[in-house]
Amino acid sequence: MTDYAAAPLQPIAHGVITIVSGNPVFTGKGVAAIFRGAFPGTFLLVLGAVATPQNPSIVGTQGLDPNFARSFVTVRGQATGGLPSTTIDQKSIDYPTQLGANVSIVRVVLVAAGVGVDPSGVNGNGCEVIVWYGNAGMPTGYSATLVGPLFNKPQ
Amino acid sequence: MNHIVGDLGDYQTPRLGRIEARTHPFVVQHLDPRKERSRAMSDYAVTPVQPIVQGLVTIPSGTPGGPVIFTGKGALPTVTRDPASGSGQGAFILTLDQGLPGNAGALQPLPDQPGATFPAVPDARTLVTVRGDPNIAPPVTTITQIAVAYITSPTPGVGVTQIEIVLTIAGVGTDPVGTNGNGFEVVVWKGVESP
Repeated sequence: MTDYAAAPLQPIAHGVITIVSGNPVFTGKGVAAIFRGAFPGTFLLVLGAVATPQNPSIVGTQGLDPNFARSFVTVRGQATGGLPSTTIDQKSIDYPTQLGANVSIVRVVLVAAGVGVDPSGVNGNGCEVIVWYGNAGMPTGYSATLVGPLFNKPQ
Repeated sequence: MNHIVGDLGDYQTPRLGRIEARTHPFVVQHLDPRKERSRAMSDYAVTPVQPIVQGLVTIPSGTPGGPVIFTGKGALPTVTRDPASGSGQGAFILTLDQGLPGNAGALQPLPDQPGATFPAVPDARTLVTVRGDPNIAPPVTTITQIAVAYITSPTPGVGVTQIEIVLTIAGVGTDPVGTNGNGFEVVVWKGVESP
């Protein structure tokens, strides 16, 4: 890492949410499952708790401290022909609090003109999601000191 | 066709995985997933973020519909417009620069699995941030919708060579100039798809 960087950006999850036959599908790394939320355009990403050779993220069973969670969402433009635009004008992220105040779920909400919508059809063609841990890095050699799990508040 | 070999690299050994190396015009090699991690990464990370494109897109004339330029790394300086935008604004096409180390000039258009077509461009990740107009307080933007799309080369065997960014207000393509903004920042990196 360069000496001017505050922290490395190393995602614990990243991928694409697409809608297949009306159901959300996540393609990427670090997410064990995806579910719909209570409203259209709301998706719950369950972070993987167990590492595998193909999916090495180790958030662990304790989950992620929400104070240090950082997420990005980018909507892919519609693939219905013409201009690849989107109607989605509001995007938000939150981390539903769970027992012990840690989180293993990332909630993505997409809204067009005040109404929750899926990123499909004229609304878009999926959306890219990146989740990373914002408190990585130490003054001397973060690689030697950072060992998961990420949620390390006093219990 | 240049034979450019890209690499993702890492902090210690800068030439580990290929993004998409074209050793032959019709032979494309992709990132070896076995090489995507390094000892310098924290143990919880799934992959490092090392952009293949990062920069600023602006319209120096300040005139909507005017010439567009890219300032940064990983894309060509000249930005083209998508004629599909009815307003003639707001749709910008960046062309990946295949002449830079770490950027082979193309992204993978389809999943690795034989015959799989879904999702398209499985490992592209793009971030767009519109800069606000500095002449108003606060320097906000009026642009409400941002979308990205990936354009696959018509040449067989070559992947995604262009990235389109569409900025709209209520569905109308809008340039980020004047009260609408002051250009936009863009970062593109390559994730790694699921097995």
